[in-house]
Amino acid sequence: MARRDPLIVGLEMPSVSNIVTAICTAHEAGYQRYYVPVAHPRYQREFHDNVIIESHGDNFSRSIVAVYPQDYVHSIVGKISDYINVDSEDTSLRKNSELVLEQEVKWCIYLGISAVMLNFPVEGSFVNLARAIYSKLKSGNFGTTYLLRMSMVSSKCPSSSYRSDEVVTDDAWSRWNAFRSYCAHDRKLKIALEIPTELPSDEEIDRWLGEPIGCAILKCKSFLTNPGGYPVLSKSHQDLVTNLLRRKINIVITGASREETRPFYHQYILHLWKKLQNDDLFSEYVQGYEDFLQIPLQPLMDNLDRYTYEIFEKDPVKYREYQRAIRCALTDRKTDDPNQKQIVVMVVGAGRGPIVNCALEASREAEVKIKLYAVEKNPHALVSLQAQKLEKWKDDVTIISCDMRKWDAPEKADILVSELLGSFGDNELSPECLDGAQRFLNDDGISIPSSYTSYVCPTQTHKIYAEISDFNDRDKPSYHRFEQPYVVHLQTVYQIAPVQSLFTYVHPNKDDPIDNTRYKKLSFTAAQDSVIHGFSGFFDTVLYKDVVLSIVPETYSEGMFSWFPIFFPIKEPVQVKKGENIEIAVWRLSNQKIVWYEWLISSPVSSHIHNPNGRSYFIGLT
Amino acid sequence: MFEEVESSIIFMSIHRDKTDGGIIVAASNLINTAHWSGFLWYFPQEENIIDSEYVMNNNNSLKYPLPSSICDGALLMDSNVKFIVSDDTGWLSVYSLANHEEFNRDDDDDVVSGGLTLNNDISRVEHDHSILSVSVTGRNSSNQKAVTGGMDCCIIVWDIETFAPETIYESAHIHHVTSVRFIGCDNRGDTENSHHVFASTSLDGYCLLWDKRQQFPAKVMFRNETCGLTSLDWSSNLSNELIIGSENGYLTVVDFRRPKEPVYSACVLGRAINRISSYHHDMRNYVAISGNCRTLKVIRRDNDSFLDVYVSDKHNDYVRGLTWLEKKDELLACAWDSRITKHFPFSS
Repeated sequence: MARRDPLIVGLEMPSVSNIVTAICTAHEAGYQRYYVPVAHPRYQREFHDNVIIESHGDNFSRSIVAVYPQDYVHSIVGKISDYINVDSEDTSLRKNSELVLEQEVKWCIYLGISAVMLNFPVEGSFVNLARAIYSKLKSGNFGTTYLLRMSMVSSKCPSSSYRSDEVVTDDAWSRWNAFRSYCAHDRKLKIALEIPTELPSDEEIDRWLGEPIGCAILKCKSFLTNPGGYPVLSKSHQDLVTNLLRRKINIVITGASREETRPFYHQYILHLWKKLQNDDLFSEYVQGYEDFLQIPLQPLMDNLDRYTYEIFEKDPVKYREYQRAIRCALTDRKTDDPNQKQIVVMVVGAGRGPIVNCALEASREAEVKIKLYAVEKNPHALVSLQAQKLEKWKDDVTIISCDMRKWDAPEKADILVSELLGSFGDNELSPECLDGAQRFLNDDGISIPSSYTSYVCPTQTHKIYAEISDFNDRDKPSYHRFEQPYVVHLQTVYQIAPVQSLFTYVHPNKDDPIDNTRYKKLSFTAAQDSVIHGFSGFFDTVLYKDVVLSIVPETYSEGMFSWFPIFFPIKEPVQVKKGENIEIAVWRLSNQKIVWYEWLISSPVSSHIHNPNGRSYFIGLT
Repeated sequence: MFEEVESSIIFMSIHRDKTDGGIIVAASNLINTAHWSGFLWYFPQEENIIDSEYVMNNNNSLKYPLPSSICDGALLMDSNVKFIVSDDTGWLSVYSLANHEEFNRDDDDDVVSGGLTLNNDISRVEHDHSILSVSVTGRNSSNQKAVTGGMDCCIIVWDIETFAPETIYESAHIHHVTSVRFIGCDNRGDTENSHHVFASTSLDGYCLLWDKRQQFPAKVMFRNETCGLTSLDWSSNLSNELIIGSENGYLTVVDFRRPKEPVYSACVLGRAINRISSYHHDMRNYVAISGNCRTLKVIRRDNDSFLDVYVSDKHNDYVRGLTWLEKKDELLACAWDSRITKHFPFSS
């Protein structure tokens, strides 16, 4: 079983009389993060009166050494005093607040506390707060994470329900959205998301889940009591917490003022977490790849390494379906003629041979004799092919060391099998390769896959956008990082609208002349207010007749892990309102040497065209 | 151990026990120690402690250590001294004072001094954060109620007899509830509303009037667009008037029959006003105020003006607790400098 990240549940303590005992007790109850105030919540400091400054001295927190046990410092999250308002219109209040914020943040940095949490105001301006935080984010203390505490639903909503005089709208997300824009989507800026007792709609929850959530705060009051007297969550809260745990987001319990009940909340979260742990290959494989950016493979230009082959060969779904597709194709070709000629099957791009094995197995299942060629250009993979021929395949398989586009085949194939698809379908140049290989396919020959289609949808993802912004390649111009797609196991994302199909390729390609360039403009409607950071790309493929593989979320081939989605960023995030039209234009272009994509958002506002002439990203044909 | 802790004790609240002139002071230690702890003091004779430099040196006092720092308190009844105390961890507790002889219990929790005992009658936690303010209905009425509000933005109405929450208003405000006051607090008139109507202030800038008998229990009395509201008291003489203190030192008078149109408002302190204690003297209305500064003021409140009649800078730190000694026209104050002072605002 793969290494699992341990469950971490935090405990928020509003005011801690004795921090040493408090942390030890919380630790014994199972909690591993401690959200404690930096200064006493009522210890208000004023910096205008010298007598008072002298009276207070420099100390505003606890005496350090005795108080913060070193072993725990890394587990402490410091809470900034709630009463400050750095956006106050009153100058002296504003300045005083700025000084308190400065004092407390500096203290946390000095102590080595890695995260500070501060209340995000529910209403009023937050421009000056953004400036204060952004200046901290950019000041060189890169280790500190800033957690902005906010509720999924503005607390204005429950509050106004007591009054008849006011109708309020929930603007919690749009306030956060503005704040993060002010702070340029910084990577160290995260949300401490309060889960309200009344949950918002599923769509809104999805949007929050696409945000960089540092921790999710769960009130004891949101728990119900089961017949045994223990705290449990309602179905909807349970689903949400499970979803958060799946994303490895720390849950923080707040409001457990009674020490004796604290362990129960931890135990309940642990129970939900345990239910999530399964040992299937898929979870094992994706472990650690969540939101992790990878540069797409270039199998034509580069030879894949052993590790890549090994991972892909383990996929339990992909090869099962390939085998089924070949079997169906063979069965369709089978005649009653006992003297039927051997069916010629060519595996182009055979790699280390997994599809060769599929084909041999399919031939046995279908009881059809085949003549099998394995064509591969990677000399290292050929070593494996030769070894298998020697040990296993013997004369059943003919191995050809050649680029399929250049191979002069001795005979024509009835079935051409390839696995050249990338996360975006055509992005590893399957069309060009197969067009080159169909020379040696019979006129009535079958290509497996027979077609594939790419899909896109506009996507909001602060986290991935921030990662891309931080990509530092000194040799390349700064626009470069926004002009290339990334293969990434999308987790912290929100899909603003359902996916739509983009480019389709059919094989064998009977068009004359063959043209693999494409251009398409798609229109989407935003499901709710959101911000476009780019678009996600997926594909599906018909291997043969009803045998399909898909990484499109709606039709995903469950258990398959060979492909992660692809993400095309845009340089400047685009704000979009609910119901607004989003237009995305994508080109697939080529010249004799390279193939590349260009892309553009043309509505609701216009971005520039990304990656002109493949200046930042292209796929080499040689 | 005590010696060390005491050096940074700061006083939070002061309440007068009217029967025998004793004083209850709640104190907390908010900085520079391992413990953010609290204490209760009982001074049997108010005269003995006035203007003493450091009350902790007073041997006649009864001192009761508490597990956490104290935010506020209120006297529950006059006979058989009983009072309610709120703390920073969300607990609400009732303590009572009795002659030691009356108790035959051998309870470690009780502190005994000079024949008197401080006894923790009951404690209960419902709030998730500091309970910044507690107010009780008339002390001599039956069916006594308390209302609490705190940093968890929640307001709770309590039935004192059962010591159980009667009504819980979660998210009553969108920021700290800084002050709650029953209309009939401090025995001011026992009208039909006194058990049902209370006001609250919050750092969200709103002052709300609550009446749980209504379909929509809250009504906006006043809103400060600029900053938070930090304190509140009802007029000692006119039960329809609320006096509200703000973060930027403004004092505002609102008549609840005409909400949102303040009777009068002016800056009186320059810093957040944390305590307002209204007083009626010689046919006129006064308020004593203190806040995040060393200044204590007594202000005469006429219809359209505030007039400082007394200003004191005796303290070296924030003045936090205020209580009037009725009949004597004297004012007691306590501050974060660990001192209690007596003031004579009306002597010439």
